[in-house]
This record gives sequence, C-alpha cells and structure tokens, in this order.
Amino acid sequence: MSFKFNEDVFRDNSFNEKIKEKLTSALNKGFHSDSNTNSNSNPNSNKIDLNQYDFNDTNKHTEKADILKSKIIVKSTDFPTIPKFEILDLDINTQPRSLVKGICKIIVKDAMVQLQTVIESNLLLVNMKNSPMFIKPKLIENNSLEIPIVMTFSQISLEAISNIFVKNNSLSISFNDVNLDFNFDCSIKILQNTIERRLKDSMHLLFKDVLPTVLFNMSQSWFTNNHNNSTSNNVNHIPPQLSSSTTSSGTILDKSNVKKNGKSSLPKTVFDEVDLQELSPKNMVRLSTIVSSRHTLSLHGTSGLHSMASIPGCLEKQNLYRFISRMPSLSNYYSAYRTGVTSDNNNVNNANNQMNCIDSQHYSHDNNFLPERVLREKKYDLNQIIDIQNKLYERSAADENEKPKRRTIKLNRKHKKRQENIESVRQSTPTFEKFNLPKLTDESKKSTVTVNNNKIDDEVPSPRTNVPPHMIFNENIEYFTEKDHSLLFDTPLHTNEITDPEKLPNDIIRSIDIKDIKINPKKRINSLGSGSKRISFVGINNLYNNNGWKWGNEDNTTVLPPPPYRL
Amino acid sequence: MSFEVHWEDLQNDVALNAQIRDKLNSFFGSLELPSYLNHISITDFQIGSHAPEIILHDISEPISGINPNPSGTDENDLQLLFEVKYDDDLQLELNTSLVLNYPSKEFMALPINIKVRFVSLHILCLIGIFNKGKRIVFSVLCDIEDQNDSTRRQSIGDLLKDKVGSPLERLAIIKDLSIETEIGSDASTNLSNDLQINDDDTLSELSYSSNPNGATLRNVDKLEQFLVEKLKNFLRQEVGWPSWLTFELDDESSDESDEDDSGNE
Repeated sequence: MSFKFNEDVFRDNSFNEKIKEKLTSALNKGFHSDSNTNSNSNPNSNKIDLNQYDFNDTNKHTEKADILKSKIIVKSTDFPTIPKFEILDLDINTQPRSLVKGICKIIVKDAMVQLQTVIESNLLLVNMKNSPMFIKPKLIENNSLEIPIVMTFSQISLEAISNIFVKNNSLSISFNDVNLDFNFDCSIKILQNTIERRLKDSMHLLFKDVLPTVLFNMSQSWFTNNHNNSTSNNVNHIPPQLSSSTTSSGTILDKSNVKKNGKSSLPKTVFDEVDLQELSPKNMVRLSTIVSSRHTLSLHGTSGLHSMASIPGCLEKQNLYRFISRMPSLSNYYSAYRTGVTSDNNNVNNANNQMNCIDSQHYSHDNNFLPERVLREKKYDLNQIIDIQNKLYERSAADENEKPKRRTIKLNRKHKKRQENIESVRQSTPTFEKFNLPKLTDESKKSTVTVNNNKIDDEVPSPRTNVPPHMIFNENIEYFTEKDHSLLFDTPLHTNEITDPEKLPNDIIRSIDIKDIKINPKKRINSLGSGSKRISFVGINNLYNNNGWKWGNEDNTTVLPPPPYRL
Repeated sequence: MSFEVHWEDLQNDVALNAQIRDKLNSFFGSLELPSYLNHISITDFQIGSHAPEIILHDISEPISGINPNPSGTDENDLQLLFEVKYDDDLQLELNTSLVLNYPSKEFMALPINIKVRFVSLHILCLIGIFNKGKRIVFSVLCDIEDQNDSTRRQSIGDLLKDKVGSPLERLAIIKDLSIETEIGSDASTNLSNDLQINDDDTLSELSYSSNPNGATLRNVDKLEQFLVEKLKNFLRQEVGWPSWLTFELDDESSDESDEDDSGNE
C-alpha cells in the first residue's frame, strides 16, 4: 500500500522553499560564523579537509582548517516528480509488546539540489594564529583566496527498500537495498571528480548508519516528548531540545551525541514499565523463599484429588488444570448445563458428579460463557452470575487503580442532540461510585433470587461478610481442609490490633511472639474497586488472612511461611 | 418472552440505512480526532438481513447500587434481564486516513478502508429503568454459549489465530466480527493478486493494482485481529459488567451536572 503525498505541496514552490530553509540550517549547524573565521583573520593550518563536504561532519573544530568560508547555502531544490513511498508488507503484533514491522519502498526521481558556498583555495596558507612567536617565519604573501563554488546535484534518483520496526517508543529503520545515483556538477572543474567520488562513498555510510540512528533518536524524543506534553497541540511537530526531560513512561538515560538533528539532542534509552516490573526485588525474595522451601524428593504432590499443593497458598504446576476447572467462571459453575458434541462419549456430564472427577472437557475450553440451557430452563441465579463476573473482573484488573467505567450519556429530547460526557479513556478515570453489592444468598435460600439491601460499607465491615469458601462453587469442594470455620466469621476484619490469643487455633507455634502478629485490614472480595491486590486464589484469603502470618513483607499480600509452620 | 422484530420492514427501508449512516458520520465529524488521523467517514452502512433475537427473561427490582444518584421514588424502578442474539451480516464501511503533518500539513497520507462484514454476538444484558424512565442504565453481564459453540471452537481458523488474553476472559461481547481492511489508496482494478504466507502461517493477500501510487494491501490479517481485539477491549471496558452506560433523558435542556464522582474506595 502506498502513501499519498500532498501533490499541491510539490506543485507549487512551498515544498522547495521549506526544504531549502531546513537544509540550509541543518548544513550550517556546526558552522561558527564568529569573527575569528572571517576572511581577514589568518587562516588556520595546512590541512585540507575535504570532509567538510560530507554532510555527516557538521561539528568541526574552529582550530582546524576551515575550507568553508561561509555558510552552505542551498540555492535551489527541485522535485519534479512526486516521490513514492509504498508499504509492501505490514505485520502487527500486540503481544508481548506492541510492535509493527513493515517493509517499505521509497522512490525519488529526478530531484535536484544546488548548493553554494565559498571555499578557501590558497592551499599554501599558513595558520599562524596560535603559534608562538619564535617559530613564526616571515612570510611575504599569506593571504587567502576565496572562491565561490556552486555544486549541483541533478538527476538524483533514489530507490531503497527499508525495514521499519515500530516499537513502543521508537522507530527503527534499516535500509537494505539502496540505489542512489546522481549527476554532480561543480563550478570548479578540478575538484569535480574528487568530490563526486568521495560523496558516493559516504552515501553508503549515510544509509547504513547515519539515517537509522537519526531517525531512531528523533522518534524516541518525539514519542517521549508527547508523553510529557499532554497539552501540546503540536503533535506532529519536531520537538525542541530535550536533554534534561524525564518522562512518565520510563526512565531516560542520556548518552552520546548525535548529529544532524537540528540541535544536538541527546539520544535516550527509554525503559518500559514492563521491564522494570519484572525485576521487583520483593517478588524475587518471595520466589526464592518458595523455591527453597520446596526442596524435597517426595512425590506426594500428585496424589489426591483435592490437594493443589503441599504448601498452602501455592499451586503446583501439574495441578493447574484442576485449579482452572474449579475457578469461578460461568462455564464452570454451570458446567452441568453444557452439552457438547461429546455427550455421546463416556465423558461424565451429569449434574452431580461434575466437580469430583477430572474432566478434560472442562480444561479445554477457555471461554467464560453462560450455557444457553441455563437460560432456557430458567435455572440462572442473577446474583451468582454478577458475583462471578465481579470476581473475574477483580482478578483480571491488572492495575490497582482500574475502576469500572460509568459513562453517562445525556439524551436531550427537545434538541435531539446527543451530548456525551467524553471522559478521557485513560485509566485514571474517576468514575467509580460507591457500589453496594448484594450479599450472596445463604445456603438455604440458594435457589431464589433475593436481593438484600444491606448496605455494605467499606469502612466498617460487618463481621459476617466473608464468603465462606465452600459456598462459592459447590458444596462438595473445598480447597483446603479447614478445621474450624467459625474462626472466619468471628474475626472482625477491621482490627488493626493484636488478636486475642485465645482465638488462635491450637497448633500454632507458640514461640512466635504474639505481638508480632498483625492483621491487615483487608477489603473483602465482594467490594468493588477495593484497592488491594490480593493473591487471586478464591478462598485462600478468607482462610488464612484473618489469622495469617505476615512473612517478611509489609504489603497486603501474605505469603505463608514454609513448612513446618503450617496451620 | 421473546420479541418479534419485523426486520423485513426495516431492511427494505433504504432511507433508514442512509439516515443511520449520516448520523454516524455527523457523530464522527464532531469528534476531536488526533492529529495523525485525517478524517473518519462512513461510506456505507447496511442493516443485516436478519433481526436480532431479543428475549426478555426477567423483570424485577433493580439490584442495589446500580442506580447512580437515587432520588427518592424507588417504587417504580425496574430492572430487565435481556438476552440478545445477533448473528448477521451487518455491513459498515469506514474510511479514514493517517496523515503526517510534517513538513507541511497533510504532507503524506495513508488512506485506510475498513469494511465490517459480519457481526455475531449473544449476550445477556441488564437494563435498569429509574426515575420514571428518565434514567436508563445498560450493562452487558455475560456471554451466552450456544449449543454449537463447542464444535465451532475447534475449527481451523481458531487454531491458527493467536489466542490472546487470559483464560477465562470474563467477557467477549463480540463473538465474531469479520473485518476486511484495505490500506493504501483505493484502487478500482486489480491486476494481480499475490498470496503471501506470513511468519505465523496466516495468509495475507497483497493485491497490486494499476494504481499509479503503487500496491494496495488488502486483508491484512494481523491488522484485522488487532482491530477486533481493540474493539472488544473497548466494549468490555465501556459496557461490560461491572461498568455500565447511563442514559439520562431530560425533557428540559440539560444542565451540566457532573455525573462522574471521583472514586473513593
């Protein structure tokens, strides 16, 4: 597919004018036109530096020979044919990171650029400005001879195929197949061949090194600048100098110089949030704790239908499918109603035995669908469905601050106009309102759809608002055998103080000082938008966090101590 | 209780399609587009040939908390539980173009053409009616699995597609959406069609046309998947439970009362 260039721009002269200005300023970036280098002063050393003509080197010391006596002025440019920019192939990846790969072809034909400048043509000129007095010879003639020179590049044709990678914050281009050809005409005929040869050599380097680097840095600074300026309306405008900026999206390290970008903006390394997240030291400590506690040669993790792992709070990898099949999802909860093609197999699809046997059918799906039969037979429980969806939402909310959106659209009957409250779709949308969810109905009233209007207030929770774990899926299943359920309901959640030691179960190690036990005020699973991110095992929190041990960390997720400190 | 929709009457109404299209166009025209998008315009819109199936399952009292700013009279508030199934060829063609505004305005433009061919969804949604019909709250609760879904899932197309998202994604809303994309200037004639096998064994078709500007890329699979995924995410965030849409119907000209309370936990 191809880009369309704005033809009007090319037809009238505005493009040429703009290009002239930009090229002129770019070519003269390193040129110091202070009084030291005007024609009156003694010119510098003997070295002839034809590399001045190379566009790459705009930074030259003032001490060295300046062949260039004036600025390089772009006299005229001409693009009679509109360049073509085609995308030959496009590949978009959103996982693991957003990455767009493309192959592009750029074609420019018959372009013309004319440069004019002044050069020093007395090659025997001696620079005695900084030499000490005792070595200065007495010269009869040491004057400079400046000659204007006009260089014309005509019939420029460029055909290049490039690979383009667009990642989060940057654009990388590599040129694979470059055909660049031009006719070079110079007003000083002696120099023509030399200049032409050297230019063609350095063009190769230009496409291989310089252009990719420059484009990369420019795109990086542009993208990160855009993150900074949320109010900038010059989105497509090349930003000014950015050497000391930081950005919300990552860390920036300044490195070395880059040329040809107007000013000497410093390239940056932008770290993604994702990169930094993976290095959390807390997680590393936890992981190493778990790993070291698991050093065992026993095989008993695979036995038993109900155990997920020998360590409470963990899930062993081989039991993952069991865990998934028991997760609260609509398809799991209503799995009895799912009829598939496999009903004629000997897969057990009875309503009662569902949870007790390993059914690979359950494992193979990954869609949270409500079976249609549930609706047809009117066996649904609205509160249950809402609850399951809430739980899944909380589980999947990656960001703690992510709140459900509550958009309001005002429909005005009189004016028949729709006014939308368009809020920014960013995650900081403050649209959460205090939301009261109905309590889960009690075991005995499970079949009726009742709505309890208990106002569940977050700050002062009533004691019996925990969902007993076995109520969540099915009466037959418990994650972990629990000795004493009453402990759950008696422990109030909002206490920050030390628990009553009598309430602790008996087999707790007594050597641990009671004062060290703290109970964190936890938000319940039922409340929406609660800030804390918990271990997303349903049931684990209720079982253990009320009298759970804090193991090394002060945040809300608790990791249980390794064996033998089991409850 | 299911609704009977006389779809044939709607379908034959050419003016209706045009009207919806114009309304959508004016809506898009009023949006403030980012600077790299030139315009969004709908060139074609057609309602599909079959009606959606709407089944009303329940009318009850609204669950607590779903009414923002309750204002007293609660007795007449209703909550409806709806099942909507739509499985049809709704057609929508959207034109936009990416522009580069440097060095001058619209220096380079890349036209993009998106055609939606087919939409399939089967959802259970909740509608709450409050305040004597002045406020309507709409949210999509969950997806519903058809009888034949379990077979459909194993089709080759599914195996080839990337399974993105976590298992037990709680809401998909859109079960199937078929999109055709065309990037590059719209060409009328095709000279040749090239099938290209991408890295992940999907096929994308490159058509080279007689367009002087060059090749037009059609049916870029990855782009289509990307768009569908974005749309699903957008819908899931906006109307998927526990988010909802509130429609305020005012008889008088609306006062700009602030509806979004800043969240407190």
